[in-house]
Amino acid sequence: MAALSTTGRPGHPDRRRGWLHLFWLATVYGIPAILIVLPLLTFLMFGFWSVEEGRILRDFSFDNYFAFAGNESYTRVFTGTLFLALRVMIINVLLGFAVAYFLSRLEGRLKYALVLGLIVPLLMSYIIKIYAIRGILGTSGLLNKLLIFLGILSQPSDLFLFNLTAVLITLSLALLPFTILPIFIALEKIPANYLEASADLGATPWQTFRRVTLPMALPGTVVGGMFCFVLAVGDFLAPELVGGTRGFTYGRLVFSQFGMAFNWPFGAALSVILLIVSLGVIVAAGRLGSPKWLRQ
Amino acid sequence: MAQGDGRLQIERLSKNYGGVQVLDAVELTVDDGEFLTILGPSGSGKTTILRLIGGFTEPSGGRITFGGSDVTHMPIYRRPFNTVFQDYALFPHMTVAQNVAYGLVVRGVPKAEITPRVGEALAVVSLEGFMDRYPTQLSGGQRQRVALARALICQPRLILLDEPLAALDAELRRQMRAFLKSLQRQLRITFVFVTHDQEEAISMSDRICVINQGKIEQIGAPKEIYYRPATPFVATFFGDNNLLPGHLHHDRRDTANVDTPFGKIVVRDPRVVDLPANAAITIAVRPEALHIVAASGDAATHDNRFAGQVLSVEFVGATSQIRVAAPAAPDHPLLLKVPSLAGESAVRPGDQVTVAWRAQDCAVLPATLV
Ligand SMILES: Nc1ncnc2c1ncn2[C@@H]1O[C@H](COP(=O)(O)OP(=O)(O)OP(=O)(O)O)[C@@H](O)[C@H]1O
Ligand SMILES: [Mg+2]
Repeated sequence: MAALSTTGRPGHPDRRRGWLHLFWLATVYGIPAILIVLPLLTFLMFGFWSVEEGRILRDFSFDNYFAFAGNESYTRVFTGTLFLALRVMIINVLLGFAVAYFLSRLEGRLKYALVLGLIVPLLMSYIIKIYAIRGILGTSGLLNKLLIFLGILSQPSDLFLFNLTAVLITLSLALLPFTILPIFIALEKIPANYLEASADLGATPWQTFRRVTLPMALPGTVVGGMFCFVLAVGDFLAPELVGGTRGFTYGRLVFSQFGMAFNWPFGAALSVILLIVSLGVIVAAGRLGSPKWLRQ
Repeated sequence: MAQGDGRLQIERLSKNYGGVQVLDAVELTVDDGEFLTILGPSGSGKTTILRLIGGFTEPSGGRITFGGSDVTHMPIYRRPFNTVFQDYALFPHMTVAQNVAYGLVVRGVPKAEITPRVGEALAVVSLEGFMDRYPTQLSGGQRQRVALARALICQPRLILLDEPLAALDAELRRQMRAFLKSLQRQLRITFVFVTHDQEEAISMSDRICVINQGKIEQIGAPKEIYYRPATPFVATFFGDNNLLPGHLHHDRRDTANVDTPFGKIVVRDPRVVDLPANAAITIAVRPEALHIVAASGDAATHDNRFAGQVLSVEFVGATSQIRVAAPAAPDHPLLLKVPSLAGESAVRPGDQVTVAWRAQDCAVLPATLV
């Protein structure tokens, strides 16, 4: 009754609530629109323009996209980077799952101390992390020293720096926490009850892992893998710092268009391609990461 | 051991958690095909016993054998038992059919054999049409039946059930009670059933094991526990009881006189025979065994009687609860339960009445009140 009488009266309070509502809507949708959608649209537009003698020509055309598709050195960098990101993702999902599983099995204080240890690098500056890893990979770095100490190498190798392998190792290390955390959370969320029920019904520990733990941790694992792939495929800092001339990636290609080449429209077009790939991966992960049973 | 191949034997089973003794030297034998209920208040250790039998928890001491072989440290997945968990623990990522099939799948049973057996198991719990649903799409009662079918399909010798009916509403609980009982009879599977609901325990069990603070208070048939409680705890936990402290005077074989604050009371309980003369005991009398009689009623049917004043009359539905205090023992008011019949203006507070009961309705507990 009370609700009826307030909505029935076209008075002041209602209209004021209407304005307030509008204000909230504007805030909730407006801020992302201005900060995210607008720059993206600008980029999209830039991608259809071109540059002539250092000036931007605002003629609509698909030339930038044709130029990319028609140039084998571009497409090779593109597919090479996709494969690089894929490898980083596979390595990190396998490694991340193992670490997350190990962490989730631990008990008490040690567990949370180690999890905290995973979060700390997330808060560190990305550049500092890359430089730290670069120090490890160099000819006088920790990795070489260790391999020589173990007798695997007789003299320092330069195989670990300024090539694609270096980029692979660096990205894997830098992105590993992003992969571990979602998987760890997914594993933590599995109630002990399900594992007990599985064993109770006759499943060996391995069967329980494969039939209960793994499928229930799948959504988190997909998210972890997705983070890893999307962050790896577009990264330009790590390849720039540890890739050298042999470790050229798509991110560096995009970066160079805004710097040296000074071809913003082409750079924008390349970015749009990257964005489409990333969105595709995110959508695919969204599908894979919410199986039918989770959507009921 | 003629009957021994399905017998569960628990010997001096103990469990401590960080120095706290949760189970204290529990001794329990469950026969093949028996419906045994473990009954006790919250925190008494019921779940702990069940988890120790199922292998989910390691005991701190003692032994569990099944069919003569030691299973105390056997891994969960090798034990020939199955559990129906309190919250069912149905796998959320599997359909009903996949959940039920699980026990067969992990044992490597061929697919062609699994499908019909899943159908059969679901038919037993009347859920044939629900194969492709996910657990979240089922009601509480349906989930519970799936959990049961999932356990039954493994053809276990023994099923452990931890308060399986607790989450159901009263009507469904009554139905499931009858269903579980008939299923157990039909399949001749041993049931170890945990509950804190005494009505559930009485209506379903062959025997009841009453546990309190990690110790077994009494094991026996429902009627035995109801009419001949062994301890004051059992007497009061299991329905209402009037407890009267007293001293025993041996008279004849199973009949004795007891000195109580109410005067001399005649009791008839076979357990009296084993007690020493002048032992300090407690008498338990059910409220429904007490009757209000005419002051000049015939003494033949009622061995005990006393005059007292009605303190309160409380209508609680099918019965009314009346409290009567004797002048000799004003701080030991007795509780009576009488049928609530329409129109009958029974007694009112302040009335002087005579309360009477029979000697065989007195249970003698070989213990003093604490
Ligand atoms: N993992 C544990 N660590 C420490 N104490 C525990 C643990 N599990 C149970 N306990 C303690 O053991 C005692 C018995 O617990 P249990 O779960 O067996 O009780 P219960 O009879 O099943 O009770 P309820 O009817 O509430 O389910 C309780 O006091 C509980 O606090
Ligand atoms: Mg319990």
